Amino acid sequence: MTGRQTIIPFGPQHPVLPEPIHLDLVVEDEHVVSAIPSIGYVHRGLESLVDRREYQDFVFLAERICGICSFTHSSTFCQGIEGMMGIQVPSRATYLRTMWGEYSRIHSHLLWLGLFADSLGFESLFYQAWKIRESILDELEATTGGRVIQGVCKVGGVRRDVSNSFLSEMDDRLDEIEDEMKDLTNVFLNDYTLTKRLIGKGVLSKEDAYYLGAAGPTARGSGLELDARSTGYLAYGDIGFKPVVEKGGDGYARCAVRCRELFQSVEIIRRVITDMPDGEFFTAVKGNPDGEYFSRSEQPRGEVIHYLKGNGTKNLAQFRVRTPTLTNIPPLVSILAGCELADVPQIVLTIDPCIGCMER
Amino acid sequence: MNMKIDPIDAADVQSIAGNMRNGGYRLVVMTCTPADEGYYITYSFEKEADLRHYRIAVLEGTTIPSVGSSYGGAFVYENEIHDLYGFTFEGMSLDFGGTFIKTSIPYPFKKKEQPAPTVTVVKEEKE
Amino acid sequence: MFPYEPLENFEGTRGHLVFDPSKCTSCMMCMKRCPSQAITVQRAEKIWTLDRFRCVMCGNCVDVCKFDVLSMEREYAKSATPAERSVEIYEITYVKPERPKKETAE
Repeated sequence: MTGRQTIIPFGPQHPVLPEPIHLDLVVEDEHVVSAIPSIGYVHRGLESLVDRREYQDFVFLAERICGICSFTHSSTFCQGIEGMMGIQVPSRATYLRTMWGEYSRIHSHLLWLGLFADSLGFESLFYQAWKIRESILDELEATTGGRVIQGVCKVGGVRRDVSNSFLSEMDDRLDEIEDEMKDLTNVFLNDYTLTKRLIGKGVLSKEDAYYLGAAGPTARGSGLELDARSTGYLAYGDIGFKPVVEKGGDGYARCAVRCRELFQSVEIIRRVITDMPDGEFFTAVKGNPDGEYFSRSEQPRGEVIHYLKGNGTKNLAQFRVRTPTLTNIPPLVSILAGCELADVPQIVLTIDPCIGCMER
Repeated sequence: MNMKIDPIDAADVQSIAGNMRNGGYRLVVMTCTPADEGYYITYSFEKEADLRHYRIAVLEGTTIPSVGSSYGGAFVYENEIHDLYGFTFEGMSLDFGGTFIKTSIPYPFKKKEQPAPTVTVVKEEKE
Repeated sequence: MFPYEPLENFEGTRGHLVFDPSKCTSCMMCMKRCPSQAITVQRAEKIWTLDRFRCVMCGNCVDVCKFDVLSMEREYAKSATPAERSVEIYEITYVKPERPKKETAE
């Protein structure tokens, strides 16, 4: 190695990136020595709108922080307000929110699998993954009214109900979706070219993942059992939950975690539909929020925290979101040190960057 | 959800972070919120369903020691708090010098004398 | 020609907003609760306007209106370019019904 360093910008615009992030790669002869991130391209300042909208209308703004993980943002926000005001949500509403959250997780993982195949050059696999995603979006549109932004959570419950006959039809359609997903994940995990390009690249050790703050499949691919669903919010306490963990710490392990989580979500949806209780789907809400609350939940990309602070008026005093992509940036910087320049696009994509969420 | 928050001194931040690191806790989030006098910065740590919060009360513009020596990933939160509220942290593991989040107004989330209007006035767009 | 069949979405899809001028009492609740400030109501001139570019089809106004004036139809909203952007104006034609005068008890 000559020892002279060049700086290559991995720009905000790149074919593999769904959203803009900038990385300055310090390179010595095609080995990356270090990477310096630079963010701020999509910062919209949504958190400062909280003193201009009433807390019940703010659910619609919280939903639009991100397009892919929108349902979990609205559900976590409602959970935070309900915890702060001490509202008891009826159990049918919590089961419906769990079901929609798991459908949202399946659609997000299928979206990521498609983008990942595209970054490796495998475009026809990209089409197949998004074709399965269309049937999931049809389910979401038929029950909630929107394909991408669901708009179905409100403080005190959910805005519309799903009839029991429709739920059993959804259960039958899940069998066909599951068969198609089995064919798809078989290619991701067993194809010769994909395994050659993923195994051993971008390794994150278990110790580094824990203390640098990795979350979601980035942490679970390195052997850590970290999942916010184990705390038992919504219906996960009744159903029981065990996270999907892979040892290995490389890009292949993170891809395998997401593939296996697809099937775990299908099992959870079947269990929720079988156990769905009858009753009301919302309660009336009176009064104003006062106090502060940390509300945690599991997005498809990791653990998200909403911090809410009320001061007794109709507008909240402060709203702060810490998304999983923000806390996965230090592990990304440590993974990139020591890898080859040609592997950088797919390594950046294995942490599943959702930059719109990260810089609300 | 555990909401018990322990107040500590700003000078003890590094030793508490060191204790948490030795005990096997991970850093979850650092939050800054305006209080009556100055601001509160809350550090949250977690280990296997044991969630703890520690809070320091600081006035505007104080210098706070960084926890980057125990938790390498804290630079993300510290740079964000510096760019939005104006606090200085000394000893950050990766210091961006104010360019982490570039905004058109410096330190946009600081407390202002004139609070923002509650209804935004929509301007007519001229073609 | 492709596509062979027109696309069919579902009952209950939030497509676009429909306003019925004959039932609106100008209470202005929809204007206060719209998250994107797309609706304006002028009570004195009896005019209700909607900016379709700002409307995000969330349905909050439909939930909040107590007089069944607003509803969501299932066709998706038509696309347009910013050059064609304008505000849709409706005139409110609601007439408050006369209450029969109470007879004073002797």
